[in-house]
Amino acid sequence: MSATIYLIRHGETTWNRAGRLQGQADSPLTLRGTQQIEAVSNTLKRYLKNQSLTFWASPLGRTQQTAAIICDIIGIDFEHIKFDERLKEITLGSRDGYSSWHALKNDFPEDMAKREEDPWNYRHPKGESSQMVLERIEPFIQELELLSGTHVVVAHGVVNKIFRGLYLNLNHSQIFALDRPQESFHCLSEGKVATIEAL
Amino acid sequence: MRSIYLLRHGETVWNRAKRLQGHKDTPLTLKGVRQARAMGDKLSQVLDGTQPRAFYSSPIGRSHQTATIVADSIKFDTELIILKKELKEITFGKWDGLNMEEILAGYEAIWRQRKEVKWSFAPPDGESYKMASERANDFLIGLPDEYPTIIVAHGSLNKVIRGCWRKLKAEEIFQLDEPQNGFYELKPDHKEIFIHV
Repeated sequence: MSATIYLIRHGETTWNRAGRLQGQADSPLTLRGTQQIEAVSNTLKRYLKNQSLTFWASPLGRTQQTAAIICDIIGIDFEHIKFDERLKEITLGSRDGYSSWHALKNDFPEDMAKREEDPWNYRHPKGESSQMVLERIEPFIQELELLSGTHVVVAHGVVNKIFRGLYLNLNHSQIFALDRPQESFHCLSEGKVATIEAL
Repeated sequence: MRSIYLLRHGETVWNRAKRLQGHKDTPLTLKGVRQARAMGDKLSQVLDGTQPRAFYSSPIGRSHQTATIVADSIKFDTELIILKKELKEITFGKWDGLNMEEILAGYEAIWRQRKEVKWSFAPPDGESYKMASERANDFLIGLPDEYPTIIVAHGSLNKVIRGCWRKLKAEEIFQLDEPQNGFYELKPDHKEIFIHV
């Protein structure tokens, strides 16, 4: 394993703040979200030592905005970002944008009971399971390992958990237990994952 | 304070690259994010503790992002921002996303026609200033008496809004600026002042 991957989640959005489920729907970064990303970028810049790198991002709005701020701070041209569909957040299908987990449990108790039985393979109506996300992230990680070198990847809460889980060969319950920080990011290198605090 | 505060989004990746955006969209640059914060801080000073009674934004990403940063800066609930399609930028149709060189390379003859009929000229599949001015005027007439009102929209669209407010002629509207380092206060007497950040 010779690739070094800096894995970053987008900054706080208005729907993150409101507890709303985003999936592949989108909302803007909050003021705080933009400050988090400035802090993340300034820390990242100290880790990057003028080496050439490849910059990848999910094409959703919140990750494009996050990537644009990072690029300006670390000195990468926005035009050079590789937007990759495989990095999009897990979609909850017709539940993308739902007001909260709590509301979802109240409004669809049977669906949520089904989810409890097998959370890893559960799909919301027209949505994706964690397994399906894993299957699109796995070839992406393999590609980066083949390319080797340094990579910055800007993606999402659930995607980044599965990304780290795959990298560390974790089981499903370990992956569900991972965090989704916005004030720190991860460095994946030589089979290990290090957390880097930005604030 | 029976005023409307009219803001443009902060600098975007395509503003910097001198590409027309229209209905297409790119994210704010770091500079654009800082412009949005600075406009929010200035607006907070100007409002001096008064909360806006209405806050409208174009639904296009760069404006909604700017509106969100501004709302957070003045401690206005972002859930209360009202997205209005009437506030979308003028679309340049097939020219959305192009720079001047590309427009001249692909559409030089059409571009030259524009000079003679600038006000009613619409690029292929696009909108004319005249069309945009009509929707801006309808929007302004339909606004309830809720002041202070905040509007976050776009370069060309804000020009036609100011034109409608001040009852300017077409050629005067084309002369207006599209600042990102401050915003306009539209006064009840149909005048405006520029508030620099």
